[in-house]
Amino acid sequence: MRYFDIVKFEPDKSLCSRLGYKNVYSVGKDIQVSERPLKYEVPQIVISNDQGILIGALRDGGVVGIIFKDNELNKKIIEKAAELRKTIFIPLTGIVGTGAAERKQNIQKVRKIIFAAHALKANARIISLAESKEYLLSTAQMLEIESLLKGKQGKSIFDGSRI
Amino acid sequence: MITKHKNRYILVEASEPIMTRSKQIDDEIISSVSKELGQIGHVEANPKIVYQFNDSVFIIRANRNYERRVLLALAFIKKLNERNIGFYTIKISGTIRSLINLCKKLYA
Repeated sequence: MRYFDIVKFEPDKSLCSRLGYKNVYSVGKDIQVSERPLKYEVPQIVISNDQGILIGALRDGGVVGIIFKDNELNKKIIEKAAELRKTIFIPLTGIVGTGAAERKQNIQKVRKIIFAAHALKANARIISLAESKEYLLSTAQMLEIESLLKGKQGKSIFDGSRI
Repeated sequence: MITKHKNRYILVEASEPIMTRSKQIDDEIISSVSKELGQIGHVEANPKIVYQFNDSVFIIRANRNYERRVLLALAFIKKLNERNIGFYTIKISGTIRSLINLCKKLYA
């Protein structure tokens, strides 16, 4: 097993192992997700659509990655993330937990982020960021969604067992 | 020449017990999958519940080459009968026997 995921609830370990994950990090316990960089003892992910906040977050040593709020693409941020070797996390909540019309729009937005990340050689990684166990996905499903989003181009966006 | 019709079997676990032994629930699951696949996708994949291990674990059969579509469709289903639910696909296999053995190992 060589995959990890980040979720917003306390996951059942046996379920996570059945789903094929090595590590499933819980927000609030193993990792923090906040709207601006703060001082935490655990690694932090910053979610925002403000360019200044995201660039500041990328420069912060405690921040492991960023999330574009509402999947709004910003190439300057992606360039900076590539330069500072930070990860752009892409939550699948807008794709999995929505209706068909909204899903189509979100898939297009996420594709743009992924293609820009590949072009600028930045690390992009999909995560479920599930709020409850209904929204958790198995590794097989994540790999299928990965191929739906990025096709066969570029490197994997679902590889690695650690943040 | 007669060509053999080949299938793939998908081991699925539901996040909640859903009593898959009832025909009505089976039909609801398959119709939810079909809704995601579309009419043409449904005919191509021809998904069907062929084995129920317990109230939340079952095996779906789909035509080979279309099993991945069924897997994606299952990922997108989050409501069944007005209840919140998630379907996790544990494994895809060419034989039902290997999945039954895996069920016994994982859920014994």
